[in-house]
Amino acid sequence: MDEHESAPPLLAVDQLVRRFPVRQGLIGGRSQVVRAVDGVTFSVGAGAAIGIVGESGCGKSTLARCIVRLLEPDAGRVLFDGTDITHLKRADLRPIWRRIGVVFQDPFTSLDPRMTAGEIIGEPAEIGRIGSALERRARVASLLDLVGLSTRDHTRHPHEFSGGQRQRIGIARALCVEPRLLVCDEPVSALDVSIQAQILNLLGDLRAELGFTLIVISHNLEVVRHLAARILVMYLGSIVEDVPAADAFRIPAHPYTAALRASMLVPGAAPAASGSVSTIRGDAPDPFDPPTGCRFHTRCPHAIERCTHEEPGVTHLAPEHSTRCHLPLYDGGRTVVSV
Amino acid sequence: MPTIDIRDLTVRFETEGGAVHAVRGVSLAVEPGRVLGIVGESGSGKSATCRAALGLLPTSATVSGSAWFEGRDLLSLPERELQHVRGRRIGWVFQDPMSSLNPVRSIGDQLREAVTVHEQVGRGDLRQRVLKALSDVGFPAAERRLGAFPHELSGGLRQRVMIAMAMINQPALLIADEPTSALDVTTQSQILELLARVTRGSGTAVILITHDLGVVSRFCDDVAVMYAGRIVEEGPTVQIFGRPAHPYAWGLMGSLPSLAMAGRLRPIPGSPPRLDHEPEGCAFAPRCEVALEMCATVAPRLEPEIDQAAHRFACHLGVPTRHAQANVLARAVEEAGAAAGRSV
Repeated sequence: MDEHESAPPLLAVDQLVRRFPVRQGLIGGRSQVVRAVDGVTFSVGAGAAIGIVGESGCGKSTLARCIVRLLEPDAGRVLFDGTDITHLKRADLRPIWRRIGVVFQDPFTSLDPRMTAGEIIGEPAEIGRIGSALERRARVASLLDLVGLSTRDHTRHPHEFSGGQRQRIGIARALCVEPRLLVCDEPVSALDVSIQAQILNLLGDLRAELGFTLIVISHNLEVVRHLAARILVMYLGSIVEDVPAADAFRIPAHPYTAALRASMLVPGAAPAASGSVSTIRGDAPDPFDPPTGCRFHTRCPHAIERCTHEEPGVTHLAPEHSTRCHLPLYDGGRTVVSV
Repeated sequence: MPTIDIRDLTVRFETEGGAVHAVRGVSLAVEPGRVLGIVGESGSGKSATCRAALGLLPTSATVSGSAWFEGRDLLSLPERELQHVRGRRIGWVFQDPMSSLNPVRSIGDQLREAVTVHEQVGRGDLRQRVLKALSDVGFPAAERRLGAFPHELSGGLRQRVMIAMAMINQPALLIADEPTSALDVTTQSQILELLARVTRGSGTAVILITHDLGVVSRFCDDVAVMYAGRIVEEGPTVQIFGRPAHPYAWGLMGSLPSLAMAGRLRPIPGSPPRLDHEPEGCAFAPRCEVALEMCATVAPRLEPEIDQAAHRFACHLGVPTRHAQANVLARAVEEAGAAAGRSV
């Protein structure tokens, strides 16, 4: 329970900011800045599994890319295993990348179509010159087996595999260098339901077996809950709630977390007659022009005047549960505001 | 009398690699004011079924069967007459509003055209109809935004415009193909509620195509589950979710994180068959945990569940095995429903 206090965290992110300049209009035009990640702070203990959940444009993928340093942050710090990697140069990042694996959303575009499965999976070891050629061959064979593919598959090309199998190849590749941290960005959202379940089980089994630290990013609260013990909820570049996975469903504190939960349509749970499921109105605001005060106030059913001009700070509700809200729905068990 | 009655529809695509049997004998009907959900994974034939009825398949497709709508068979109508049915008597909403809307014309323009291609309407009346269609779908400040272009709107607003356009001529049938899959989850339920509201009020029959079982269970009166180009189970939503009869339907529900009992999911092993040749026997047999010998050779027909004429399924399996499985699932669904809680 106190894993992040007893051991130093494997990953610590402090006040991280990443902006993107975007030119508006077709010709020339004014250049505007989106703060995709806007002051994010959290840490992950070795061996832990956390989920980052939010809707498209909330900055979760940008955050992931900053953590693994595929992007350089504009401000703040990223500490990996005690090393400050925030502004490391490419050459200095190599040894870091040997300890981080990344799985991307789309198994259809993230694999090089001209390479064989064996080459794709073994490439990180090849680049890092880890082991002899013979050892790398053996490593690929054991990885294929580990992710539930046949060792004979190593000579086949990506187009010969189904979507689920391609995602297995992507996972095997990410695990090639025996990473201490595995970051999965929407690992199942491009897959059919029955295949999603296979991949979720596989990720859970691999983590139990290999003991890596896991960060899973998804727009789907259920997917995140299935793999992670702790959930960070992001909205417009900011973490609005940091909560144990089970409590995200039981006692969500931020109205946005509650809305995400209410938007999940559980089969068989309620026939059409039982009234509205959507608790918030409208779409996410324009990230170029985020609302003042609390970013969520324009859609929040509980917003008060204060929310329109004063940005809420972090409120700690329990040792592992915090939120950025002036009026949390759950306040640590003293009273529960009805939703 | 059903609004649409599709009988024994088959669709075959000719590709470079040979024929693909996308739809293999599908029959379905929707009564006025009812919502039928067609669920299935990608490649199951759910979209091809509806596009065939609308005459919107590419020329590489060979279609047979019939689709009866307002006394005529849509599949044998000449294109000129079909164009008159589409958009006027049958509306449709597809997944990606950006690809269905014309990017260089204002939404007011496109809504007006949706009316004027089918009938002559005076300018004042036309404006009123466009504004009413937009206000029906909860489009804010419609009067000021008729000149807006699609790219100036959010995904949720664009999909509202699509629904307004589909409903503006008060069609008898609305076909919605994954209408919310491109939207964020919090927007998704708003759009689905909107669809339910605008169609229920008008007696329009709806076919909702989706891969999302949650969407079906919440918004559809009836469900057809498709697998490898066939309907493997159909019936009232409550019964399909309460007592799914087909092993594929059990598998789908066991695959859902929201219904998983003790942490581990129960996925369906393997992946769907390629339909470059017609499967012999039951197409699901190679993935089925309880397949019998005969399943590999004899294709099961859709037959009614005992005592429930409306609930039909295609499986050779004996009743006791099915019921034992269905009971386990029904309990899981109930528990998940209770856990999800409906107070929020």
